[in-house]
Amino acid sequence: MNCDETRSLLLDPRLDGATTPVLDNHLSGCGSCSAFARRFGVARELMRARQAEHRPDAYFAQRVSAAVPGDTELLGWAAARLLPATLALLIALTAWAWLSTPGPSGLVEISPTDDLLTWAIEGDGS
Amino acid sequence: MTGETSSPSAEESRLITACRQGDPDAFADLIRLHERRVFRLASRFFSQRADVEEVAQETFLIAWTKLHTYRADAPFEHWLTRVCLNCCYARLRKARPTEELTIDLAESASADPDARIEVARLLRKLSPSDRFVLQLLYGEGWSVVEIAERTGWSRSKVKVRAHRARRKLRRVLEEGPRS
Ligand SMILES: [Zn+2]
Repeated sequence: MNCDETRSLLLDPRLDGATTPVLDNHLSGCGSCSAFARRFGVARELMRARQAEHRPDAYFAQRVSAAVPGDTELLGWAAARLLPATLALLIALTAWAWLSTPGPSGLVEISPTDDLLTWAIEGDGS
Repeated sequence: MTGETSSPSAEESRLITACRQGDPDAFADLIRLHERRVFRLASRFFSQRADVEEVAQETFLIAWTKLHTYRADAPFEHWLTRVCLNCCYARLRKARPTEELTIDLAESASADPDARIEVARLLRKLSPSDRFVLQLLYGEGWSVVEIAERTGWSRSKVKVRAHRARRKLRRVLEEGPRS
C-alpha cells in the first residue's frame, strides 16, 4: 500500500477510524502518512464534538406563527402590491387609446366612407 | 431529527391539514412539536444563538409556504429535516468567515490542545460548502445515501460534493500548518 492509497483509505468514511493491518503497517513506516492520520483523527474528532445546543425560548413558536401571512393578509398584500401596477396599466391603456384615436380631421382623411359609397352605388367595375 | 420512520400522528396530521388551510394557531402548535429538533440540528452547524434561531425561523417559514409539497407517506420530521438542512447550507454558503461552521475546541477532549487549534485552523481553509458535507459525513456519520435522503439532493450530487470535499480536506491536511 502506497501513500496515496493509505490517505484515500484513511479518509473513507466507511472505515470510521478503524485500522487494518496493512494500513498500520504503512503508517508505522511512513512519518508523513502518520502525521496525516493524526491530523485527520483530530479533524474527525472536532467535527464530532457536540457544540452547545441552543434551545427555543417559550415564545419562539408564537413569534414565528405570527410572522406568517394568513389568507386575508395574503390577499391584502397581493392587492396592495398589484394596485399600483393595475392603476399604471389602466393609465397607460387610456393614454394609448386616447393618442391612437384619430381626431376629426384624421377621420376624414382615412375614412373609407366615400370609397364605400362609390363602390356601393357604382359597383366595383367588374 | 431523524430515526423515526412512522407517518405523522393523528394530531400532527390534523395540525398539518389546518396549517394548509391557513390556520396560524395550528402552525404554532406544529412548531412547538418540532422546534427542539430544528434547533438541535441547526446547532450542529452554528454556534451563535442568533444564527440558530434565524435558521430555525427560516425553516418553519419555508415549511409554512411549502407545506403543500409535503406527502404524508413519510414522517413530517424527515421533510422538515430536509428543509432545515438546506436552510443551514444556504446560510453557510453566504456566511462571512466568522459565521461559518464553528468548531468547539473545548468539546473535543482527547487530542492535545495545540493539535486541535492547528487542525481547526486548517479546517477553516475549507469552503463552508465543503465543511457542510464533511460535517454530515464525518460529524454525523451519515452515508451518501443518508445524506441524499435527508437533504433531498440526488445521490450523484452528494457523491460529487463528498468527493470534492474529501479531496480538499486531504489537501489541507497534507499541507499542514505550513500552508
Ligand atoms: Zn505514506
